[in-house]
Amino acid sequence: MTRRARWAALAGAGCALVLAGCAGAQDDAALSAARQLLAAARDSDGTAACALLAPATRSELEQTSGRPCERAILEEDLGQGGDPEEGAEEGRVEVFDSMAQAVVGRDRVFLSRFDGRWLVVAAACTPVADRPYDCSIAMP
Amino acid sequence: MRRGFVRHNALSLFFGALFLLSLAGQSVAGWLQFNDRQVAEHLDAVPWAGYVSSSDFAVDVAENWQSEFLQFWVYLMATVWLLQKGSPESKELDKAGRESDEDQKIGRFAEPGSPAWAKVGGWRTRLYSSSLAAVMGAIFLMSWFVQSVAGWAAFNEERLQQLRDPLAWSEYLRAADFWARTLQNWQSEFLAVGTLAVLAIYLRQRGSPQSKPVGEPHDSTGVEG
Repeated sequence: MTRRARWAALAGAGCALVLAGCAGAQDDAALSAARQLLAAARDSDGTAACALLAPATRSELEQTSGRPCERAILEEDLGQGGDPEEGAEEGRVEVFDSMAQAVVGRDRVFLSRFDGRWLVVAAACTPVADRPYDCSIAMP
Repeated sequence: MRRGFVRHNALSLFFGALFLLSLAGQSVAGWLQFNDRQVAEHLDAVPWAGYVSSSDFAVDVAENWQSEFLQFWVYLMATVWLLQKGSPESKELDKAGRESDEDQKIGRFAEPGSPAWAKVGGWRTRLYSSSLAAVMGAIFLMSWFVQSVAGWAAFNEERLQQLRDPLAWSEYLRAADFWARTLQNWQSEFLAVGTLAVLAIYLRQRGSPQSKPVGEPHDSTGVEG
């Protein structure tokens, strides 16, 4: 019983450490991807902005707009809350396993990890009381 | 020598092996289930190693651990005071409570083979007298804490997929998801242990110390086979 108890204690502590460690390491990469998207939109660089979108989000944007992503994304309300690259809007991020939410200025960006890289699954979001955000760039 | 070791430790070895096999099976089934949901959400599949270090796996493991160790802790404590006439899980009907030092073979009533802390008296004997429940209770609390942290992360991962704001850990402790995970496990543990205590009044398993001897009367209490 003692050996079993010791093993359980170690495993429990391990779980907590893994959770804490993984979340910390992922924060910078997720926030950086969100800021790059907003900076690209502000600079009217549609190619760079679309390269940061998750595949399903990109194809959904093209389908709903009827235009190539590189043009459609520049018509969305993105990156207008300040210049994130100049440090005026540092932003903050919360990471939970494969998902993240970055808040930069008034932009709220949802991201997911694809093959080790953070890509945007939803952006240009407006809050709706007691409901999910209404995002004009989103998954199907 | 080795055959003797296996024979003398067969119960713990058997359950240790069952535990590891079940945990391995859970990790594979849970990984496939997780990736199936990821595909449905147009998200990326994760490798097995990524899944077993995720909060989704941790919460599924921890929520079952906490309830099992709670079950044993409650059972240990309840059977000190509560009796069940006719059940081999109960003590005899005149022995409710912590019993005398003589019954418990502690202090001056210790035997030559008694554990050292049972003989020595004072705080060490008091501590040793509750050591099993203390360790079980500590593992329960730790597993429940891990469930709360891992469940919080897994729940927020799902909320972000739904394009909703994440909750703080303190908010998650009041959320339905935390209590649904907790109580669905507790109810099954209490049902199982209560059922064993009652069915063992009338039913038998020949050769098992968890049962009365097959020919023992139904109203015999505290008799193990």
